[in-house]
Formats: sequence, structure tokens, C-alpha cells
Amino acid sequence: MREYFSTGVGVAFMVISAWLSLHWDLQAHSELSEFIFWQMRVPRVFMGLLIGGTLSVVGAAFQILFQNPLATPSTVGTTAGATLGALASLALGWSGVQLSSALILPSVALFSFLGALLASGLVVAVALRPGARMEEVLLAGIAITLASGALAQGIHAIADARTLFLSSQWALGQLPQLGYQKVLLAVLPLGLCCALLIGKKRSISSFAMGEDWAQSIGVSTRKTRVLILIAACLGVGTSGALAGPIAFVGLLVPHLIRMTFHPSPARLLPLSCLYGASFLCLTDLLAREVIDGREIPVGVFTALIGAPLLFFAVARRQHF
Amino acid sequence: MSEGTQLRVENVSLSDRLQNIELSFSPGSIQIVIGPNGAGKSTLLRMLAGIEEPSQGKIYLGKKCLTKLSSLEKAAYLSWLPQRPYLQKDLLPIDIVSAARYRIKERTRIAQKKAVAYLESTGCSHLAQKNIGSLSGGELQRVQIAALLAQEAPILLVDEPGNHLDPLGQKQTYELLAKAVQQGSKTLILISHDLRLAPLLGIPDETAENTSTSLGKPSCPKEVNVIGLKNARLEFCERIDAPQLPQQLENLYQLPYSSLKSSSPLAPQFMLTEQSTASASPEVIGERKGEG
Repeated sequence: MREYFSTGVGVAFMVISAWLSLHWDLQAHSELSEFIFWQMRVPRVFMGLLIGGTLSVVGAAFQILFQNPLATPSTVGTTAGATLGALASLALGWSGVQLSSALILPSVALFSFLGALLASGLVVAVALRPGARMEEVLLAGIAITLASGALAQGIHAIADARTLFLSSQWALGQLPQLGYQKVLLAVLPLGLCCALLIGKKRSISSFAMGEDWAQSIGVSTRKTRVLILIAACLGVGTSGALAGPIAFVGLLVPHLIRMTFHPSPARLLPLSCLYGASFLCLTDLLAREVIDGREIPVGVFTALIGAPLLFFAVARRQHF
Repeated sequence: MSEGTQLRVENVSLSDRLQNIELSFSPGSIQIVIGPNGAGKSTLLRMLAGIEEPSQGKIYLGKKCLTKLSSLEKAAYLSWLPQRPYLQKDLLPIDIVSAARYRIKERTRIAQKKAVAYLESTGCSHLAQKNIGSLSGGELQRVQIAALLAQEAPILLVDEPGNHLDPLGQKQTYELLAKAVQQGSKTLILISHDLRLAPLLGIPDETAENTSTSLGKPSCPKEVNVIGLKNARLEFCERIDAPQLPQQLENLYQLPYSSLKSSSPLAPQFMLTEQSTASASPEVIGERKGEG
């Protein structure tokens, strides 16, 4: 019963938030409404759903994998690597790579993806060592986060004002206004990330009972660990490249679901994907519409709405 | 293959935690591993479960080397109950028990039905939807035994199942294991400090023989061995009715035999000191398991 309920509410929530996001205030732009709807809103809502779902499912997988409620992609260095890459590209002032006549891959996206890849690659290398413990992987991630942070500070110190402004904008996270071609380019890695993590939910969820136990019931824990890290790197790297490091989604959404529906760890993954998609879609609507004619980075709203929600959920929690 | 698989340990060492262990467990037998703390009992069990690999020597499952098997293949033969499992507080018994059926490819709904059946068999189906953080030690142990059995492996590796439990909880735990061993003709490899609980496994004991009917025990399995470990080495491996066993137990623990094996399986005053002092509640979250 509880399964149907949480899924049903999630689907309804997603449909409503997508519909609202697509149709909000559309009549105000009467003569342009069709263009705005198809060329601006549809790809953006689509990206919002996809990125929100990806970040949340990665967050949920990390929380289960590391048996740590604080684990997010930021904890294992993926976000820090992406941020450093983007900053480096801004500081170098490169514009991008020409993929085809109409399609330029912005170098910020490319660099932040490479940064995420590099940072996660180092952590995966630690995770792959025989007998590596989960807390070692977590520590390696924190070390990489600190190192990237220090490098980023160094770049900040010597950067010019324009780079500083652009990088601080980027660091808040903002859903991009993309054409369909770039949306298509992003669908593959993001979709793959979600599919991998949800498809392997049984293996991933067994980590909630401890890694040794997971191994004894037949889960290949090393493979699962690496698979999660690779999927996370794909998903977070891509979404970071497109939208910047959107704060909190990966931490908040799984926790809110856990406290509301008490799902099994295996159900947490698809539910996180579902609710995370709607959550980012709705907060992006706010980011677009709260101030007329001016867009506020969506990262501000995910934190502004999500953080109090999490706080009250924790404060009101019944302990047994 | 599943019922006739012999587990063989050939001259196995694991750094300095186990040295030159040579053992063979025939199918359907009960093996009770005893020894002082730090003797390497848990390490031996973890190695048999395939969680740790020997640094020297080989473990064979039938004709196959254990380290060559995949996790799934190992799980088809060996089911492991850790001493202090690491469990998040908000898990539900039904999810734990159905997760234990990972190796069996089936729909979630079927796995959950089976999980309820196994919880039923250990007398705790009413706990299926309760947070495990709210269960008592005895209830948690029943849930874990349900998970152990739900894996449907022929060899059960059980690490001190009576630990942290009151005498009644210990009795019930051992009886559940006995039922599983005899009904499912499984091999049981059990770590226990308390040989006085052995009669509960359906093992005829020279002093408890006359009262055995009151415990409702079925017939005795063909082979019951006691394996003594001390300082990472194998001290002895004897049948439970071997005449030299009492002497070897005394040597192992440096205690008089009378305090190790009394007529009543439920005599708290005779409990080994180690059993009665280790009364911490089962660890649920935030603590690592200790070795040894």
C-alpha cells in the first residue's frame, strides 16, 4: 500500500509541477506564447526534471553506499572538481569547442565535466583498491574537495572582476536555456546515470545492511561501488556542466522522502528520482517568476525552500 | 550439488589472525567453534563466508576454490549471520529479510511474501513492519535468523547468536537454529562460548539425554564436532562425544570442565563470565564491528 501511495503522490506532484512550470503566466506573452512554450519552456522544464531527478537519485545512492546521512556528490569531490573545472575555464577565457556548424559546446561545460571526471576518477581509484573501506573512500573525497577548494581560491585571488562575477553566478547554479540539440546531448549521460542507479537498486540498497553483509548475500560490493561512482560522475558532471552545482537537492530530497514515506532503501532510489525532478522543476519556476524580468539562480531557491523543510522535518521527527 | 557440498579449509593462514588452519566440514554436520576472545573465530567465519580472503592456503567448496567463485555463487552455498550486524535504525524486518534473497532472481512482491513466511517461521511475522531500532535484542536476533534462512543456502555460518541475549532469548535462538538444521538438512558452523547450549541444537548430551524429550528435539544429526581455536591456531577438532574433549576444553579455557558444561542449558549462574559481562545491546548504527 505504502508503495502505491508514495509513487502516486510523486507522479501527481511531477505532473502538476511540470504543468505549472510550462503554463505559468504564458498568456502575458500573447503573440510569442507558442515560441516561448516550445522553444524556451519545454526544453527547460525537461532539463529541470532530468537534472533534479539525477541529483536526487545520486544523493540517495551515496547516502546508502556510504551509510552516512551526510554523503552527497559534494562529499566525494565530484562537485568540487566540476566547480574547479568551470572556474579554470572562465579564468582562461576560452569560449568553447565547435561540434558542428550550429552546436558549440561551451568550454565551461566541458571543463566542469572534465573536472568532475578527474576528481571522481581519483576517488574511484581509491575505492577500487582491494579491501578499501567505505570511510577511506569518503576521506579521499573530502581530501579532494579541500584540494580543489584551495585551488579555486587561488584562481579567485588572481582572477579579474569579470571572471569573479561569472564564477560566482555559475557557482549558485542555474538551469540553462538550451536548444533541443544540447538537451539531446545531455539526455544520454543523465538518463544513463538514473537508469544505472535505479536499475541496480537491489545491489545498492543492500549496503544499508552493511558492506560485509551485502557481500555475504551475493552482492559484488566492489563492482557496485565503482558503478555508483561512475554513474554519479556521469550524472553530476553533466548536470554541473549545464547548470552549475545546484545546492542541497541531492541531500534534501532523499531525506525528506525518508522521513515522509519511510520507504525501503531499494524504493528510496526511484522515489528520489521522481520527487527530485518535481522539486527542481518547481523551484526553477520560482527562480524564473518571483522577480519580474529578472532571474534568480535556482540554487538560491533550492536552499531557501529545502533547508527549512529539512530543518522542520528533523526537528519534528518522532524518535522511538 | 547443494546438499552434498563439502567445505574444506586447507592449510589456511590470514596474516597473523589465523595460522595453518586445516579443517573439513561434511554436509549436514554441526560444527561448534569455540575459543577465547581473539582466537580468530570470527575471522575464520568471515573467511568461510568469503568476506575475507586467506593470505595463504585455500578454501574449497566441493571441488571449487572459494576465492574463484563470484559473490553470487558463494551466496548460493553460504549464508552468514554476523555477530554485530551494522543496520540502519529505520530499516524494516521485511526489507532486510527480502534483501537477503538477493541471489534469487524474483519479483519484489514474491521476495516480500517469502520474507514474511521466513519471519513467520522464526515466530516474528508480527514485527515485519516495525523499525528495527525499536526491536529488542531477542526480536532482532529472530529477524536476523529469518534473513539467514531466507537466503536458502545449505551452509549456515553463525557468529555467536546467543551473545547479548538473556537466557530465554539464547534458548529460543538455538532452538530456531536446530529446527533449521534438522528440517532443512543444513550444515551449521556456529561460534559459541557456551557448550551448555549445545543440547538445544538437538545434540544428545550425556547429562541431558533423559530430559531431551521435554525440549521436543527430533533425531540427532550424524556428526557434531567441537573445534577449539586459540591464539590464531587450531587446537583441536573433536566429535562432541569424544572422551578426550573435556580435558581439551579445560586446556583451552583454563577453567574446570564443570563450569563449561553443566546439566542444565539454562543455568545463568554457570554462565562463563565473558557471556554475562558482554551485555551491550546489539549495535545498530555508528559503530564498527571489532575483529576476533
